[in-house]
Amino acid sequence: MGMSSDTRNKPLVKPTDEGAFEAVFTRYYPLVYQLAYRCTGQRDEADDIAQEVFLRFYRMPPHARSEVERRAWLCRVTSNLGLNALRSRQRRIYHEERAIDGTQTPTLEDAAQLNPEKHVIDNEQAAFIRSVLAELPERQQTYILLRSIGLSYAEIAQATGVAPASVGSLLARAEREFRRRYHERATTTKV
Amino acid sequence: MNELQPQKYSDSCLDRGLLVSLRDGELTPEETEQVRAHLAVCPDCAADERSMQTASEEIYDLLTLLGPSTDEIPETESVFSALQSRLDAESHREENHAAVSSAAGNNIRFFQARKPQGRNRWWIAAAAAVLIALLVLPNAGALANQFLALFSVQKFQPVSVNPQTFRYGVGEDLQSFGDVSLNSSNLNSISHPTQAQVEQDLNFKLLLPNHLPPGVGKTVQFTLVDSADGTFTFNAAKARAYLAQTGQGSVSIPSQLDGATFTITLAPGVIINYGNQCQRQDQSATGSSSSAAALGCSGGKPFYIGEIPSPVIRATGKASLEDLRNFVLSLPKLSSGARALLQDVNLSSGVVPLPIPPQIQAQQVMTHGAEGVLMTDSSLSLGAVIWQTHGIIYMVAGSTSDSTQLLDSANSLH
Repeated sequence: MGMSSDTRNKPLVKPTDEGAFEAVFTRYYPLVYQLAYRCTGQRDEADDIAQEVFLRFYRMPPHARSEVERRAWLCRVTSNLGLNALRSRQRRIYHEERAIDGTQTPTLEDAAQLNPEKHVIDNEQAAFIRSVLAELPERQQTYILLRSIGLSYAEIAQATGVAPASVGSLLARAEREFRRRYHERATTTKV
Repeated sequence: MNELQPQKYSDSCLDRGLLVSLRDGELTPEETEQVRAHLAVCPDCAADERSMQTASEEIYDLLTLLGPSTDEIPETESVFSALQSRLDAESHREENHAAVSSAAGNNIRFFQARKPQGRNRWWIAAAAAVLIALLVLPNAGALANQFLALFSVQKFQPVSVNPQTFRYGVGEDLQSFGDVSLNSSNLNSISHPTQAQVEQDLNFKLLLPNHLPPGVGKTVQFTLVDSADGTFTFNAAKARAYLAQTGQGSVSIPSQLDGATFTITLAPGVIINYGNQCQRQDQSATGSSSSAAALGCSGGKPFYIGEIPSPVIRATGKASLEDLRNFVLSLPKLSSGARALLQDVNLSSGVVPLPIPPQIQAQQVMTHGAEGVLMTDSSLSLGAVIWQTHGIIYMVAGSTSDSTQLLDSANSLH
């Protein structure tokens, strides 16, 4: 709290500050792309999401008072967009399948046949892992994904709006649930 | 830094969260030392710690398989150039809009009050109608780079509607032509969001008023509006069946529409409610996962501020949004009100029609440098201002039909 009230509430980057924006982009684009790709598994989609994140940042920079807050903001927006995109795609595949022959829920193999391009990019095992991840509650998906790209607990707390002291327990629960579902599915599905 | 107190480490088994925190180096040196001391004397916890380490390795090895590898990450410089081009294009488009807005600036329309209707719900209905109308907006030409056709609202234009000929049925009708699915996140699981929590969940800066109309309570309550996305997939077989059933069998369906997918994305927003006392009313019993939190302020004159990011519409398949709009307009049984609303969407200026029933007076106003619409209902002493700036749709509404008071509050948002 050593900052004066004048500087404390100002964003670190103003929309018109092109140089600073480029610096933020250069520094964080790989991280944002990585997170978007982990969510979606598709290059085009990840690239599109990453660009959208930085467009939002440019148009309305967050009131980040530290690098932790800024990094957390970028990751929060990315994971929201990424998980939304993943959800939408799964729904599309489901509707495509229904349109073809009735009401059967598509399996991973069906999805691969419906969208072969996806499977060129996204190998079968990654698709399987992603589908297990997608079964978790969205918050648990977010904790695991953010941790998997190296965010600290303070950053995860900032990005998800939970208390930093709770992150360890929440992450432990999410990991346990992911592992349980992974093994459950792996015993019944050919990976 | 952890939920468990240090003194507990020595006399009870360790929480798994604590072990995970130890693994990730997130404990203070003092906590680390205490946890390690406990592990040294507690075989159960030591075994837990070893199994947790094994499980962690497995989990994060699996997640690494999701990629991307370092060489799969696009080169930052080239992506930045592409982004800059996109920003330049948007900036150019905004300049064009400013020119068009200036030319049409004096087109102020008034509508006479006739009879009271509803309570203070009409402005919400008007906003909802706009969102529904957005589902069938045309292709956004200049922004339709890559494979996307993209549109977001730029400005509202009041349009008089006759309730006899207008119905909000566009969204319902869509279901007759394909599959509509809506999905929302669950931001309002936070039961009493504080301003700080709201700011965390929004992707934009929260604006609050410096000035409230007289008689409005000073207690504030925030309600998060969920992020949501909707998908509409056109299904020619379903559409044909519906058209035959409704006597519109002669309508032809463009081949590119079959299987075409359109999406609408809404980022999280907030509704701010003022009163003398605010109490949250949980509507979870209704089973609705979307916007389940009720506005629960009482005392003083009702006053609301809505800050909702403009919905983004994309045509992600082989047909454009304009193809869809043209098809809807070709339906002989489309209500005349809905037809007029769709036709009034002006892509070149980014103007979206705001349907105004006869009892409402509406006029165009300037606020925050943007052209907005002021709506008042003097018979019910209700009023609202709606405008869009920097991609966010703002609405200020309250129990007053005094234009000056409403505009003062709208202009005082900062």
